[in-house]
Amino acid sequence: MDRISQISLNTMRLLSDNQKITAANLANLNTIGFRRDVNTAIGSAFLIDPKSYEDRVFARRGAAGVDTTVSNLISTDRPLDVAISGSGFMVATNQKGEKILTRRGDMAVRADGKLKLGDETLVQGGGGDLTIPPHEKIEIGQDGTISYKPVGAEGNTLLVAGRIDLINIPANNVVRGLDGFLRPKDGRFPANDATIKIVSNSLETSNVDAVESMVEIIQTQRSYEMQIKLIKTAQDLDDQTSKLMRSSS
Amino acid sequence: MPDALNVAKTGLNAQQARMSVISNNLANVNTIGFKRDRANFETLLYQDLREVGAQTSENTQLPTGLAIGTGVRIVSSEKLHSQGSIINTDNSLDMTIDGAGFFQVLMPDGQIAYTRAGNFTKSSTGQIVSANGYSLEPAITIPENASSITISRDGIVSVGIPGQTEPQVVGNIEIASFPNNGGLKPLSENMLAATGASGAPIVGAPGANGQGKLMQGALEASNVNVVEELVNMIETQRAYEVNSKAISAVDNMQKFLTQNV
Repeated sequence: MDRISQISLNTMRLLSDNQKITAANLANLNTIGFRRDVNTAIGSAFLIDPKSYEDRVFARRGAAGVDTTVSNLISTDRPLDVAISGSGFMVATNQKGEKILTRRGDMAVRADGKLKLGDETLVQGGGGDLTIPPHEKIEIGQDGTISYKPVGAEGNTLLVAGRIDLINIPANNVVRGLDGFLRPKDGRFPANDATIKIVSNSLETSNVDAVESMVEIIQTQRSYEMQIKLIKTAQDLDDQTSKLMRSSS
Repeated sequence: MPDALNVAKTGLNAQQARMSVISNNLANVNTIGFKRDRANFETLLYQDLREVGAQTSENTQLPTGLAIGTGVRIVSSEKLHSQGSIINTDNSLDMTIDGAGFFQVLMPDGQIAYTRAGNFTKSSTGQIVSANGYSLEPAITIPENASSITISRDGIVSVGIPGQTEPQVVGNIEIASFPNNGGLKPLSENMLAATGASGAPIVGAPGANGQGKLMQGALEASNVNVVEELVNMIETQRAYEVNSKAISAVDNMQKFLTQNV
């Protein structure tokens, strides 16, 4: 009894995970500001001494991560929709009050005046939650400064409510938590980067490329089928062996 | 493996829900004072397969982890309260709020509902009522013998009485605004209700304290932009299609497995 089938089975498990990652990316094709997950590379389990002969090398899971490539902007004509132009992240806090990184910009003002995003996270500015007092109008500047016209103010009175925390973080330092939010891998949030520009009245789409994901799905499907073929071959080989044994007896 | 099926299913569900939001917007393209909805998506929880920083040997650690997503869901649908375009009707009881604020309407259950639909009419008793017959709040009654109705920019309703030279003031229209319009709960009949998320209404005369001004003889059209909704519809349809492709790919993988082994 040979163990070819065990090797194939192991690879099939890895391929299933990859298929699931691609399906999750496709499910988030229309999630504002979503950053896609990269399929795991599949590597060999150990390095082989060139002089030795090793024919049973199990595949194993390699690196995976988040693709932080910038996506397209769509215009929404809503002053509280913002998008970051170029690289960089907005800082927000999740429901547990932990700081996270986000590229979502679909902001809204809560009943208590705090500025939230579409996924109920709170936008941070100057190290705390940004709060907008009762206002008639909100304007968001290119550098993330939020100014508002207070209720009942005369003419063009504009007061500053704060500035959105915008930070730049290298792509290889971004990791996704189990709650789906992005965080710096080393847990450190660098100081604000004044060079990051934001565009108001726009949103950034998900950076999932439907075509690329479809190709991934097909590729994974074919590799999966190839593994099944190998299992089938192993089965045939064993069948032949047992047949031979039978005829000679 | 069926995991990938479930993940793609969440995508189909979310796109389906988005499509209902879009169809509802399109269905209300001619509803006076209608504010369009937008569906907000969020990612579902992630499943950890390999913890980042885990030890791969005594001295080495995993440089990247592996967390697999479980899909997407609709977290909220949000009303976008941008101003709709204004249509002139020259009907004396048609009103538009130019700016922020809502008309207050007394619902049959005694609650106050809020609406941007300014197509009011007179009831049999002369009271100003909404298109569904609900009374405008505060209640204003137009005398039977009134020959004309004038509503000022700041909400003063006055009527002309035959035989009198001076117009007679019969009431003041007040409008309500909210700290967070997005938190209003949509009711049927184009009405909205205040909730904890919207905050308490700030009631005042039109034009004062940041409230919008009234415009008589005009109606506010729905703020649904047909072209935008159609683009959203195409986007949703394509997203639905690729998710169903993912399902059929997984299905084919299963089929191949059962047929060949």
